[in-house]
Amino acid sequence: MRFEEFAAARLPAVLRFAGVLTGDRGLAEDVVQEVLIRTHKRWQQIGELDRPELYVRKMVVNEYLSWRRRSWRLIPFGTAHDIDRRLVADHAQAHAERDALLAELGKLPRRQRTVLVLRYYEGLVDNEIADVLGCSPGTVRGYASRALAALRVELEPRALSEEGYR
Amino acid sequence: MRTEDDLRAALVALEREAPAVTQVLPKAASRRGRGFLPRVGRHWRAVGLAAALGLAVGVSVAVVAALSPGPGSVSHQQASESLRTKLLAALTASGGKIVYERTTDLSPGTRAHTVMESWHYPWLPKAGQLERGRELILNTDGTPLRDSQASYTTLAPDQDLYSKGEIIDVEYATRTWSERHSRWLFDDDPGAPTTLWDMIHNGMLTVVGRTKLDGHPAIEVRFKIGPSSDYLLVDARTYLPLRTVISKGASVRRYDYQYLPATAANLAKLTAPIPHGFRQTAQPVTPKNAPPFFLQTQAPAEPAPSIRQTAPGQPG
Repeated sequence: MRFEEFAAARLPAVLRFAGVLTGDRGLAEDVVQEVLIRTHKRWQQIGELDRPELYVRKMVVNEYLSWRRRSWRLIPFGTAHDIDRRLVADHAQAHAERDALLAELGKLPRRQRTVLVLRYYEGLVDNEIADVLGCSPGTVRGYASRALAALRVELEPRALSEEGYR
Repeated sequence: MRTEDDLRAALVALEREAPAVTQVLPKAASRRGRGFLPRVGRHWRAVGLAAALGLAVGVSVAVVAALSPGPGSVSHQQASESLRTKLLAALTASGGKIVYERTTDLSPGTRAHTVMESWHYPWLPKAGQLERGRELILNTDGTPLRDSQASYTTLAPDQDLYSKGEIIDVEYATRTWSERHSRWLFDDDPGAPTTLWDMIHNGMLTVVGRTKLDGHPAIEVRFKIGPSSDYLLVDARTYLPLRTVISKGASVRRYDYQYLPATAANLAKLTAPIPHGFRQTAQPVTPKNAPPFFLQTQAPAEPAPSIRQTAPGQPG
């Protein structure tokens, strides 16, 4: 696969992933930009992979986790309303509970948030998430547990008995 | 309690935060190589036109063309490299100073006016260091609209987005002021000194030539952070940035910088004075017609494929 073929076919999905991961279009844009530049430089190797988009998504995760904000200007973070305004474009159509959940999701530490996105958006099991993050499955479960507790999300009984999340 | 399905649905809803391909690819193209490669305006125009027409594949091809190495002047690149080294050295040497920044709106169709004055100390803080800043936002007639001062702990590069600190807002429109102690979310500002540092560090510049700013010898540098051609003027003697002009959409803003020693008189400028008679409130009381902090637009939602296959090696 050539780089332009990858960009045309796979980039939209990578961008969606970045949008969900960051919850912030501007940050997602910055993160993917950085990743694209490095991807292009290394395309000879990355393009040889069976599914290069998977590798690129790992790069997106790494970039997001190491991203340094580049401004000193501050915006108050204390109220859910501030975050709601940031995350929700159309208040009229949004559900209040989902907005509240998104607001709380936006307050999670990055690694906890990343684990939730990989588990509940991408559908990865904990071993796969551990591979992406470069940590142990136990650490992944720890992140997930703390994040779910913070968000007051109750685990479904089937999740505990199935292979998923293990 | 919420369910896992609630969480899944909420995450899918966040797909609206996905940037458009036509936004990301051209910007990546503009930064190809991250090092002093000459900008080729024609590529930009072609990309912009294709993006406007919504030709996704066409955009990709055009951008790939822009990403490919182009013809360049070696001496031009060396000049940029040399200037970059001098700039970073000058910035580092003055990192303990107060930076004063004046932001002027130069957008087409509007009368040029100062929209904000700000002070920040130290202007290149280290992780864990206490930072102090003040922003004085002005009305178009030059009168104060909001005066804010903040102090907070500088984050390490690998830390989270939030920093603990306090902020005092003085709202002139409602004659109120508030003091809050909380966590804070960092916002992006294309003209902020730390942004400038990153752009220089990343080599996103090319030397145009020598010029003058108010009779003062300066070096003009072009840099790219988007589809427009923005520029930076550097003091030809001290190599400190004097001015940047940045376009973002229809907005054009000029940022002028001064570097002040950390004397008692200058440090006092980091404090937002509270005029007599202003009432204290728990939260800032802004006028009802105040613009929102963030303006977002909906992104098209498309089904997202799962990634269950792992790739070899550790990218990053």
